[in-house]
Amino acid sequence: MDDKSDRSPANIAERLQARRNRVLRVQAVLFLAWQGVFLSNLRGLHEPLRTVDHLQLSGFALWAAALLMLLATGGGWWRSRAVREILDDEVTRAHRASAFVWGYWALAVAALGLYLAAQIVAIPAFETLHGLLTLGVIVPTLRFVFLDRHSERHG
Amino acid sequence: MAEPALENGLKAARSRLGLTQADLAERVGVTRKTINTVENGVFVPSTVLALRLAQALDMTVEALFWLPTRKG
Repeated sequence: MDDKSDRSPANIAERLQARRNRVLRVQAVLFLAWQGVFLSNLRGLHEPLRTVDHLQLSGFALWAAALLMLLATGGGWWRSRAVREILDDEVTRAHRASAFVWGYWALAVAALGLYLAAQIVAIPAFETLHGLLTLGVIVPTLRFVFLDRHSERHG
Repeated sequence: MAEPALENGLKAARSRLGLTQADLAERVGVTRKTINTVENGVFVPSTVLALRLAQALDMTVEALFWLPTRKG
């Protein structure tokens, strides 16, 4: 393949798409793994928060926002419009729509369960919000990665 | 496996012109993944994409896509 065709918007978009899926897959696993750290520090969160706790929790919120933004926009933010349009083509948009629907249902079912549980036990607000945020990020991300990989491999 | 909602002759038309999925994707301005999913009947393209595919293959949309015939 010559250099010119290698730098065409289509080829750049193909490479970025593969990279986006790799990044989303790895980040989703790390994001889930980080929940172990959060759960192990859970007891400490009821005491006055230290600066390190604030930093850790703010970092988590930023991480969640970055993943959602990558999912919502398709990435390629510093690339040309032509590359971004290919990167966010019709199938990608359909996969994103399905991923967000899955995220919606995961959140709705979790909220329903919490609503019913709240009649019996006290639901701690911060941990609940953390869990819902995690669910709202991880379910659509994994669904999007699954659909994109599946369509790459099996059409 | 469920019957595809729309059948197509994309692969045959593409092969006739000696185009790879990547070539057609570049002509139409989509990723190869989109061509792959449309070809395999996994994804039903929008009217705009169907028209762009037909144009790129120098065919009419009706010749490229058709509804599956009902059995029985």
